[in-house]
Amino acid sequence: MGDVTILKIGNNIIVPIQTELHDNAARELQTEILRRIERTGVKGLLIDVSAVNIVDSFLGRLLVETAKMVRLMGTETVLVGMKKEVVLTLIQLGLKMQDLHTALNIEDGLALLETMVSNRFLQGRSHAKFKTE
Amino acid sequence: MPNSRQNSESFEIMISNFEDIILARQKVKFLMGEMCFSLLAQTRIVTAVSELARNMVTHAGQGKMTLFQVDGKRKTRGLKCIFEDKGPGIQNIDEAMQEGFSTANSLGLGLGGAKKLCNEFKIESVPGKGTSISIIEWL
Amino acid sequence: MKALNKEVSLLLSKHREKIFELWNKQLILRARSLVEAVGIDETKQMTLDILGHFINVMPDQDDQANDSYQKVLKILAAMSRKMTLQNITPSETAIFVFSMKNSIFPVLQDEFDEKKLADAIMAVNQLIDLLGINTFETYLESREEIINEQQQAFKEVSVPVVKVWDRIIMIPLIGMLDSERTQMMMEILLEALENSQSKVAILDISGIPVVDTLVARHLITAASAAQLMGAECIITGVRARIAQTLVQLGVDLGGVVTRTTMADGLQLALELTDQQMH
Repeated sequence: MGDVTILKIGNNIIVPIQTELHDNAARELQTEILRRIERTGVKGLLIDVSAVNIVDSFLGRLLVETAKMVRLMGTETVLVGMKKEVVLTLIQLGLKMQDLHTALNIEDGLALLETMVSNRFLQGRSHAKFKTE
Repeated sequence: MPNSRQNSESFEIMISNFEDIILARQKVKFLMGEMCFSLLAQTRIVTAVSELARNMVTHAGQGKMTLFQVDGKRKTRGLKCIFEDKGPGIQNIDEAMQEGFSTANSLGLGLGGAKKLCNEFKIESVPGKGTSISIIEWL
Repeated sequence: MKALNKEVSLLLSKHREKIFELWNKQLILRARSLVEAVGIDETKQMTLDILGHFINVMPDQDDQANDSYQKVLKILAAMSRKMTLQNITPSETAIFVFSMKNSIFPVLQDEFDEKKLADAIMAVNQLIDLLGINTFETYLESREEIINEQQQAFKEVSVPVVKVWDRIIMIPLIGMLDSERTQMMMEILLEALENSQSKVAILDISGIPVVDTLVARHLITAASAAQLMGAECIITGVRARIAQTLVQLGVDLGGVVTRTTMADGLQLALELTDQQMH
């Protein structure tokens, strides 16, 4: 349940998912994240899934929806560290997660968040990674 | 016996809530690890199991998962998982297998998605009686 | 039946030498390259062993758990595996087993009256056929194994991953891109991304002769896999012809960035990773 830590570092919230979440726990985590953003007003959310072995259609959809909700609140989301087996499975499953921004690791993820947040007003929702100086 | 080629003990897990789905996943992963399936195959099948187990919980309330090893042609071994419930059953299987079909406000990737993730997939359903889905992954 | 089988077995034992000679003569005549591949002395030893076990099996030929029966199968399996490796034709491998009949029947003919002969031939026939089938199965199995190994080896060499710059990898795609190869290419691509923590993957399609809707779909799949991992994917090698076909076919590459030349692709990759060529 409350096993997942939500860390606030600077202007970002970092959520490392370390356990296998069952459906209700995942829903609770979503609510918890949204509440924290409401309370703290951070501009970036980073979800680390490098310890997650299984992302099925439920969890996949929940992650995409969380990012959408968070964006409505004026915050950007980056998902980092997805395992290659998980990626291949999601692709085979046919789950579309295109709207979700991703990075290889936390470091890259934080850098991406920074550019996304600072370019938000200039570029709207176009791909922040393809900014030209 | 549901399958004459069964060659080892079988495991039964009752699934009636979301925590049970996690337990079912862990059991399947453990067995596949013991049988030396690749990490990718483990991930694919455990994901399929997750979809099918959830399907049982949402549509039938509860059901049973049975796991056992099977022998195939030419010395291959496989893992078979059977999901049985006594729920309302499926009226139109073809329709239910289609991508995007959903009666429970999910993505509708459940059945069709699970089928794409495993080597063999068989579904039988009698409306009003229940549903039985079996999947096999070969080593 | 049992009594007859015992009788046959005794008879074979008595004429072991003669059958052995006949069989080897047959082999040299009809399966020369097999004998050459195995070696004359070894062939002799093998036929002698098989014959010995065969005589032991004969009395109760239906008992497949029989020790001698298993031994015959083992020898034949080893032989047949060797034949596959040395590219001996399946018919010669089959002749090896079936020519045993031609060496046994004359002996039976000399010793038995007509009524007994028919039954005896039937029994011997049945057993040898069974052995033949088993030999053939092994032959096919080892052939399949070889093909699998070759396919595996081919797979490994057919998708090379090139590290072109710091945190930039490139995969040149060559030949047909069907769904099986796409699957394999994606596995290799994602593994390389994970191991090297590369930020950009360039897929170069210069070596793909025809890019149709299906190939385009495979490319999009691969690109979205790379994106899910957190990397960017650039497709290079999009020549005029390809651009034309894609648009005419109404294929939407779904936001995947494409370039014509590898150089342009690399330039873009460097920009994406905040690097410069020195």
